[in-house]
Order: sequence, then structure tokens, then C-alpha cells
Amino acid sequence: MAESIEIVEQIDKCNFNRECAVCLQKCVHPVQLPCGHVFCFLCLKGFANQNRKCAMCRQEIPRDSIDQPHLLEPVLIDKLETFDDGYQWFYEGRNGWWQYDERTSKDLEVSYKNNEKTSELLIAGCLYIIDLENMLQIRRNDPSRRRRIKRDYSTVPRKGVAGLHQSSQTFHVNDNVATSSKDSTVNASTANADSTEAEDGDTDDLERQLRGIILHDH
Amino acid sequence: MASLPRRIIKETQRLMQEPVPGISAVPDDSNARYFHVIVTGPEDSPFEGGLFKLELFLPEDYPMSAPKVRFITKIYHPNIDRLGRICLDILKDKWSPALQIRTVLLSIQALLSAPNPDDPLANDVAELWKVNESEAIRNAKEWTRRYAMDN
Repeated sequence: MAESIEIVEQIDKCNFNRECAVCLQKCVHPVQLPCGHVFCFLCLKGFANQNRKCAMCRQEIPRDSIDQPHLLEPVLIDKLETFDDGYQWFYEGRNGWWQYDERTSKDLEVSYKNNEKTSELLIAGCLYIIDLENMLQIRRNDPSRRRRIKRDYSTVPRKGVAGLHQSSQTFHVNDNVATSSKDSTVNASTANADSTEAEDGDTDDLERQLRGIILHDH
Repeated sequence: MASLPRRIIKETQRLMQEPVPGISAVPDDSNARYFHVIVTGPEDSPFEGGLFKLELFLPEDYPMSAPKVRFITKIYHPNIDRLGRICLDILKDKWSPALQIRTVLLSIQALLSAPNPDDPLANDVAELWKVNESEAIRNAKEWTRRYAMDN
């Protein structure tokens, strides 16, 4: 009973200011888990990567909650604030460029404007060194894992933001499965394309881990 | 170079603005991830009247991993060893990134009210706590007087 009260409180709180219990800031791309708790998509990825339990109630997180997150707000990539009238920050994934989430973008822009050569950022629970001279994002505890980054016009082709696709494709209100049937016609091999794209997000580990689980299941 | 994550800044501000009764946590002047902590011994416990110093450190990947906390003041408690290390599940496998400095310190204060000799860290203390609780409590009070008062 205590738990259901806690959930109601959390939902109430979320409706007003939607503070994420992990970063203690306003949720960026809020995602709701089946237990009712809401977190930033990247905060969720960060802790689910370590331990697939809800940070609030420790309920098991189903695989779908990360692969096909139940987003509470549409991902409107074109509505995101740009810098210097039209610039954005991007990181390279396997099949193209992703825009950084709003918060990380702002941090990158600040470092860039301050002419810092490097900066350190916590993205989805992992520490990264951002090398602004060579425009690379390097995993702090595993420097072999690096991605190219760029500051470019916000109108350049990109796959989505922070591992999430533009909402016209993926957002459905009151729909737990956030992928529309239209997607399957757009992508020839839906399942594969989706999981590869998920891997292009900030936490490769998660995908690997989830694949491990899939293999384990059979 | 490494800027302080906003979550740590926010937690620190909130600790200052709305302090927890009986607990103070102040960041070090030269290291904002290192906190000087004082926990008052809970009422109706053998630690009542004592002021216990602890150190708390937020690791690089906090809040994805738990803060490191240690008693500096000597304390006679079955779940705290002679080096001040604390046996508490939320500091280990039960850590959740939704916990905070505040909740960790409250849990430690609660541990002082509810020693658990069945899950010991200090074996000799735990043993005495089980076989002769009144003597163990006497020791705990004596240590509190000796190490945790008027220093």
C-alpha cells in the first residue's frame, strides 16, 4: 500500500514539475516504467545498464521499456533550442549522426564557448571525456570507445536525439508500444533496424547486455 | 577540468537549505565531493549524547554508484568495524541512484538505533551483543562517552 501511495505522489509530482529522481532536474525525454515511475530517458538507460531495476521501487524493468520507451512527451527534435541561430551538437552512431540531448548540448556549448580543450560529461551514467580539439567523445574508463562529434547546422540529416527517433515515427499517446505500424513499412527489417539504432544511443553496453539476455532466454 | 555534476550541486544546496535534524554534512573547501559529516547519536540508543564524525565521498560515477562513507569517531557497534567501515546494504548491493546523501545519512543514523549483530562487521562486538547485550550496551555507552563527547 505504501508503494501505491508513493507511486501516486510521484505521478502528481511529475505532472507539476517532473523532476527526475536520478539527476534531480526537470526530466529530459521523460519515460514512464510499468511501475509508474518516471525518469529521463538517459538517466533510465544509465541505471538500467547497471541493474535492471527501477531506481524508486526496485521493480524489474522489462526490456521493452528501454527498447521502446513509453515517452510522456513527444520528441520534437526541430523544436529544440539551437545555438547561434541554428547550430546543434551531434555524435556519430553506426549509421549516421544523432543529436545530443538538450542538457548535454548546453554543456558542450558552454565548454565550446569557453574555448576549453576538453571537458568531462556524465551521459547516461557513464563518464566521457569530450575532446573539443579533435571533436571526439571518449569513454573515460575505456578510451578505445570513442565517437566522433560535431557542431553543425541543426538541419543536417540526423537519426534522432539521444537514441530516440523523431516523434512522428515513434510517439503515440497512451500507447505502451512506442513504435507505429508505419515504421515496419519504413524499415525493411524492423526488429534489426530498431536494435541497431538503439545501440547508437549513448550506452552500447545496454544493448549488448540485452542481447545477452535474449540469447540467454533461448 | 571536471565540472561538478548538477545533481551534486543541487544536493549540496538542499542539504544547506533544509538540513536534516541531527545530521550535518558540509562539503570540503577544496573538494566538493568530500563531505565532513556529523551525526548525533539517536535518543534512546547507547549512542545518545554523542557526536559522531564521518567522512563521505562521492565517487566519479555518483549517483550510479554509492557514496563511500566511513566513521572517523570510534564507535562500538556490531555493524561498524574498527576502521569505521559500515556494513549497510544500501551502500553496497542495494544502492539505488534515487538515494541521496541525505537518505544515506538517515539510514546510518537509523543503524545506530537498530544494531544488527546477525550481520556483523565487527565480530567481537557482534558476539558480545548476542551473548551479553547489556554488557555490549554498556561498552557502547562508555565508548560514546570517551570518544564522541566534548571533543
